[in-house]
Amino acid sequence: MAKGASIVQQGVSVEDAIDAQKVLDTRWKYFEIYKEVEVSFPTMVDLTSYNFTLYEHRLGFVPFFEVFSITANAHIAKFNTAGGPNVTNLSVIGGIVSDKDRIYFFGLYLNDDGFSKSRVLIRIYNVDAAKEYQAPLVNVKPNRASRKSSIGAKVIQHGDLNVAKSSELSDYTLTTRGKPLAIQRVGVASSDTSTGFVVKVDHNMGTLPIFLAAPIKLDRSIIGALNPDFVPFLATATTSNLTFSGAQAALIGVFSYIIFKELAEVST
Amino acid sequence: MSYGLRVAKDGEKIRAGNVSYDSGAPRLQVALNKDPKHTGVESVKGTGLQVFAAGVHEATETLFRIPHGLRYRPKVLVYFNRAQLNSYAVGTFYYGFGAIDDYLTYEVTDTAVLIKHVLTDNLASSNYTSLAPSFGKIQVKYLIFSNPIDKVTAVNRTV
Repeated sequence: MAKGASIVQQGVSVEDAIDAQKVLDTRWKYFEIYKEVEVSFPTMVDLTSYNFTLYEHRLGFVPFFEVFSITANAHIAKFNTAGGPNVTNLSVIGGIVSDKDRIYFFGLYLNDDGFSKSRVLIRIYNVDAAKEYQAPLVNVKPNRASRKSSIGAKVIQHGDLNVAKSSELSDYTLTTRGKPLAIQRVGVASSDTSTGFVVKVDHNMGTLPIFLAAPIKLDRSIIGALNPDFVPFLATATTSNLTFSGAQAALIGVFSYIIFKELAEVST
Repeated sequence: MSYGLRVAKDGEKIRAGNVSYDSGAPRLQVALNKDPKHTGVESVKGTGLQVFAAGVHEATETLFRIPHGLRYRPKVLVYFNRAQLNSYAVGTFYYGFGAIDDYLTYEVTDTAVLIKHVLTDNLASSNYTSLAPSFGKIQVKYLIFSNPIDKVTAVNRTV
């Protein structure tokens, strides 16, 4: 068994804790932020093709990322799939995408896209969107739920004891009063005639899942942005699985999904 | 200098590239000590909002408000669930869309996270009443992160 550290919510036994009661388990992968950077789009003209870099991350893998327009106060996720995302010809796919080295825009810009001259925040996660991953899962209900307690763990920044009573998470490098988003599963799914244009993913979280998804090229070399404001295909969810399908048209293409561990006990 | 916790990968010594966990690395995280809570499930029900060709072309209502108590606007994840059909949506739930968009969404302000019902006549040419009452209650699962939505997250790097 791997060595490491496990920290649980206040008042919970480490041995008995279910996943939702853990604040830290070093066996898990977390939704770490690799980089956050503000950039500006240039002036862009309607019906004009472009190809320019927004940010070079040089991670060596295709990361999940999101783009938030500070100008428009909304997320942007443009991914043109003329001919479908299964097309391998790079020239017919465009939008805001990332490969293993950089985040860039290429393809046709339309005025309706609305981000010409916009100031945006790009958040890049240290997670390979093209690589399957599944974490161990413990979600059997414990004998008793967590209760309020003064027992916990904190590591204060800069050794400044004056912030020991602060309730702000940013004043600590680690605190059991905050719970980071941990990854349960990363996968790549393809919806086509062989699947009946429906994709079903088992998550077995015991609750409705926290998830995100982004379109990815068939060869997994480039990915579109996550969009927390809207996932452009239908989903149905139960406490054990998640199903994706199209709306009035069929869902066609490849997408990378990420399902997160439940953040807190449902009963508290 | 900052303080924190680092864990090396199995069989490795702690050095750059060999760390499996570093408490100083920024992550999306939710504070567990906030009141009201920063994660939970609520139920909302949209009302029969109306738009008129000769008048108002957009109508909105706030169905639920969660004060976040933070000094900045936080990043948020919201999921909508129509339990009868297990219909599950991220960020936006559509009652109907097309010439008229009728949907649930969220908004983050300086003080609160709002769950809103919006009815928009995109062509400004119809009298229309929202379908929301016929859908019944919609579950809303929300997570309010301690990370800003429009700024770089404060980083406490471990040395």
